Amino acid sequence: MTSTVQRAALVFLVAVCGGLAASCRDNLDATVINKCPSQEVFEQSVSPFLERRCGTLDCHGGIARPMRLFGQLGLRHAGEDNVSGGKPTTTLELSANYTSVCNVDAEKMNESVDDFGNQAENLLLVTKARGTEKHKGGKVVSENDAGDRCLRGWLKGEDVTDACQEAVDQLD
Amino acid sequence: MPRVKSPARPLIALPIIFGLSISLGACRLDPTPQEVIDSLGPESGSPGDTHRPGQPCVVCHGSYGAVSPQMVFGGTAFTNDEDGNVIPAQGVEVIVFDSAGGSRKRCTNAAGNFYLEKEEWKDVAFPLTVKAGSRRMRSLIGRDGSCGSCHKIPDVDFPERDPETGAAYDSAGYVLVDPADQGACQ
Ligand code: HEC
Ligand code: HEC
Repeated sequence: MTSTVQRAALVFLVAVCGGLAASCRDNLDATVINKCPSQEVFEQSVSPFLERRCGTLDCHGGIARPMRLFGQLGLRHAGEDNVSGGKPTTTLELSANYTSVCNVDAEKMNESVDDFGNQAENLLLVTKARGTEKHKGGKVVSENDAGDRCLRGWLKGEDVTDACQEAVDQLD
Repeated sequence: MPRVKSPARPLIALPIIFGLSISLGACRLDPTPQEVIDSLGPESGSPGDTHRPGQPCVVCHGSYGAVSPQMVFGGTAFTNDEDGNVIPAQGVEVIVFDSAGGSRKRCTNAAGNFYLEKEEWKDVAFPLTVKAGSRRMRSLIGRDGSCGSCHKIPDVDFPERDPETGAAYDSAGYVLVDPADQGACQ
């Protein structure tokens, strides 16, 4: 009898853990196993745009949002002692943002990288930002505007320094 | 004790279902508006334009809360007195700009509160930017017209980090304006 109870307890625990892992996937620091475009370019150019336009505390800077973004003017990484509006975005936050964005659509991102970004237009990162896919935040970029070129250029492995900078400047 | 095959197979399903039901509900994508409202606690005076300073007005005065008046934005401005205490900022001009080039102006009242009714800005286009007195907020308001959603007032449940502004890892702290900006807006 005890063994049945013990087994039930064990199964219960396993179920809780499995469930937690499944439901909190977005909250874990997942390892990037899929391919994703340049981390350096992302951190240098793309993240600053995403932080400003998408990473506000009421949007992707929300604690439990999908594609959660950290940044100086939004959510700060709990592992560090910064406040919203305080010190510039940290390297830990930049790499967390990279992981977040790469994992939004991991499988398609993988295919897109294999295809040199030719399928970038189908990625949720682009379709949600363009508002062609249902998006709570509405339409954030228009085809070929600075923000759109910033995102798509990165996905295609292009130099996006200027496009991303232009997109950020428009928000000031 | 004779070894018998465990008759407990169907029973094993119970802890699975129970366990999963606890944990799968654990990580919601958004705190629901109801959770936010519940966390704000009961009314301390009578409801009116000076009530609940610092709280996220639109969570109640928006489509979810459905309380009248319905608001586009609403919040509370604070400032510091000579001793550095945080006090309500009165008569301060708050201007909100939208993405379509429009803007609306309000004055803070005795509690530092201000708000704009939905009817006064029907075609407002998010994201918004804000200026309170002489201070301009750099970041954007993506979609939440409650200043208090991001400028959470520090309280016991809230891990305050910056003792002066109340800012924390997920909050910009008080909406703090320059004391000299008070009284200019009537
Ligand atoms: C927890 C919910 C809640 C929050 C948060 C809240 N209110 Fe209210 N408010 C109410 C309720 C309920 C009433 C009473 C409405 C009625 O009598 O129909 C009310 C009434 C009011 C009224 C008076 C309406 C009238 O006709 O007299 C004003 C103005 C107002 N609130 C402003 C604000 C402002 C500004 C904020 C933010 C600083 C705020 N409220 C935050 C729930 C809330
Ligand atoms: C989406 C989150 C968010 C909302 C909503 C929000 N703020 Fe802010 N606010 C911030 C952050 C983050 C900062 C700190 C950095 C910055 O952007 O200047 C800030 C800073 C400020 C500042 C300080 C600027 C300075 O120079 O010190 C003022 C003033 C301000 N906000 C006013 C408001 C008012 C008024 C509202 C409501 C109409 C509002 N904010 C709504 C996030 C928000």
